[in-house]
Amino acid sequence: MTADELVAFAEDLARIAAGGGGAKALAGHLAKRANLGVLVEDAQWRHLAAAGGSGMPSSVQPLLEHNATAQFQKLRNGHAGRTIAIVSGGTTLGRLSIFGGGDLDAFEHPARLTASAIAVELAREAGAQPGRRRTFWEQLVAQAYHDAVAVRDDAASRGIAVATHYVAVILETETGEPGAFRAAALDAFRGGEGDAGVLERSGSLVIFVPASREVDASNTRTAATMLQRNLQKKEFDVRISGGVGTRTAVLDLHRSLAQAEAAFAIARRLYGPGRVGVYEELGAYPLLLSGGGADAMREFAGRILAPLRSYDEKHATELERTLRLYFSVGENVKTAAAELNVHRHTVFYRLRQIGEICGCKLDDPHDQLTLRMAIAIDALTA
Amino acid sequence: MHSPPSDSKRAAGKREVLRLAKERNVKFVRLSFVDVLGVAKNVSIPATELEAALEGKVTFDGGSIDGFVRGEELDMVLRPDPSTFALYPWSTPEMPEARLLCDIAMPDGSPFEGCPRTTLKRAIEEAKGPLAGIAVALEVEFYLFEALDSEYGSTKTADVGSYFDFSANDRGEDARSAIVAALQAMGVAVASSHHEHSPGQHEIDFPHSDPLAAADALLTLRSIAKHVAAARGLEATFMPKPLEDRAGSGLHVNFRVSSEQQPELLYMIGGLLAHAGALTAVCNSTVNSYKRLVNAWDAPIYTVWSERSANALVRVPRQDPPQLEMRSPDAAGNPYLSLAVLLGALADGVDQHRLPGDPLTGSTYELAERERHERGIGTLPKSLRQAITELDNDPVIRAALGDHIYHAFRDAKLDEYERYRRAVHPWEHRAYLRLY
Repeated sequence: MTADELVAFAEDLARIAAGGGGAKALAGHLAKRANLGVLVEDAQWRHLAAAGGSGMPSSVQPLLEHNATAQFQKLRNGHAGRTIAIVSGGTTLGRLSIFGGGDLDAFEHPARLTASAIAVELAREAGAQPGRRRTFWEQLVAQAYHDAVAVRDDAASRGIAVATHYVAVILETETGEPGAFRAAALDAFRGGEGDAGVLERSGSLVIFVPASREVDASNTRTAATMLQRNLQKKEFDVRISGGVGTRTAVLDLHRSLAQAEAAFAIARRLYGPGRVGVYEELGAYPLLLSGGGADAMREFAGRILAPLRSYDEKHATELERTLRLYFSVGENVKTAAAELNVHRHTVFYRLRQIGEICGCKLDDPHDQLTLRMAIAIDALTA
Repeated sequence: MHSPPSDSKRAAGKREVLRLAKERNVKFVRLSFVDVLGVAKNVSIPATELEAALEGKVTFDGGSIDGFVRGEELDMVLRPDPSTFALYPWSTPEMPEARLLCDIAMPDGSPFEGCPRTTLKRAIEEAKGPLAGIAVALEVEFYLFEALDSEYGSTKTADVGSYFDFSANDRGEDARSAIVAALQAMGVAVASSHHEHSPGQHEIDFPHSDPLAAADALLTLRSIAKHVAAARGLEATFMPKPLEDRAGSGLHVNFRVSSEQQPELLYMIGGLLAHAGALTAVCNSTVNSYKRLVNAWDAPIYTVWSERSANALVRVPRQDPPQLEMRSPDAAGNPYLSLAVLLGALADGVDQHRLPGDPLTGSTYELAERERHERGIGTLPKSLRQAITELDNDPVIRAALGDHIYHAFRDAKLDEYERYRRAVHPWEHRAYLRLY
């Protein structure tokens, strides 16, 4: 970059920071201008932001030279990357790293400028910003915003990169001190692109996990069910109870939170403390708990039967019909086969397919209750 | 399970090799090793030199082998692994010949970081924490063609069989049986073998073993198959896609995990999917490999896992003990490096708690672009060049290879790709010669 270009770049950074852009927006600007991958981590190697490029490491921690300094320097083992410490007032707040082909040393100055701008943002966050951030999430679940644009604008002014969708997770320990495992829990729920939100309220830790894609929600559900075991592996002697809501658009986050609360309550009643309930896996119980009206019942039946219907439509199969018949003849495969005019092995095959498509086990009483209720409600409301 | 032999075990192994060689009246011993590209090389020594060889006193000119090209690496030392001693079954009683698989060491006896077999040993050692006791079973597909007098070999098949067919008059079946018998005679266990989808295509499955023994078995199979086939007027090829309109030949790698590791299974799948692009560069290391990875004949093309789908990249059938099947590799590459990077990806998945999303039901070929995006499903590289770029950007897989092998492999493969890119192929003649 020429001196003029460098000045223009610095002015851009200042504008982004003044407009409320946080580390992610600043890293994004560097990535775009230099056509590089940019990774920003805090002093505890937690991921703060990533932009541009693909195949970046999840952390540069293992790639750092043992004598890592604040200076712009190469990574170990000839890795195609450079790294620089983010320093404010003599304190290292994190590390900015760049990746890509070509002469990376040519980007030392813009990288240093970006690291300085991020240092200001991180230092500011360490002061007053957490409160402002917390307020945003509180306002969001209180439905204080009228549209997604207002959500995005307010989030940006507070330095939050908001995702399009989120999954709400509630966690609680018997000791009621969620702060003790906050960092470990946040690490478990990495989610997709965008900032996670955290609220601590009345002994619970509420995490809003960014889930721009369905896979992020799926991984959040899995991570929730594995959390207890993983915390124990990290020698956290806590028993975690909790709940996970469904993936909703950011404006509907309150709905995901309500579902997480319901899943929490149901899991505690059904299984006792020490379990994290996942709303989507609790089948008919949320409906029974809420005593939902006709709309809620229709939504439930539609959601449970949707995967089968979609499969039938796509492949011209009769899986939904097979399931209805199987239940209606008292789970007698021979009778179901005769009614369907197929061999009983075909019925067994279809039942296995149904289990895979619906993600359930037909011999599990809980899953059966869910499917039977969905079929009954569908018959009543169709 | 394989573990680096202690000095006393190694000494006992050497004594046993010397005893066997004397007992069988062995005249020559081939000291085999592989270059970075996975091509088997060997130095033949008279049996009188066997004791010196076992002491690591046989050297070779490393400067002339692919991937070892550096001035200071001349006169590399061969370190035979006594556990791999085996007599070639075609040896005559007058001229018994044996082989030993070797690691490559520096002249001072220290391990050479450019040795693929040593690299796999290091990967096994490094993965011991998260993957202790993991066992590998390989399913190897290959073609047997008629050996005709042509410059590049023929693609005329010797039979018309298909999946699991049995034909009494099939020369391919006979050759396959002879290959299995030869492997067994050399002490390499075989679980099963059968005819594959296409005429002339066969599969040999090895039972579970430690990863080093699995790679050794594949190396042995490749040389045995060529030898046995040639003796029957056939040609064995592990080329991934020898025929455009027939199924390609893959190498399905099955990992069996212990019951203690079962909770980590999802993370292992996550590791394979997260590093799929870079893994492809090593496990599908020829320009021809990418002609197999197309949406036909159950070849994987997306980074997706499934319990049943045959065209998923990773298949995890519901069974006890649990098993993961990685379906993209082919047998034309370097088996030691393929297993080293796969172990690296599995270990990283466990270490970083990488989650793989939900399993897929149905065929991956039906996935629409939007569904792939929502499910976080990526596409496997479509060319060797793309795959090398993925490798460049993946520090985990590069670390599994080690710096030396990464650079040697990368240079060799970029050169191979460039030669391929410059070549004018028969398809281009068909499509353009008369048209323009």
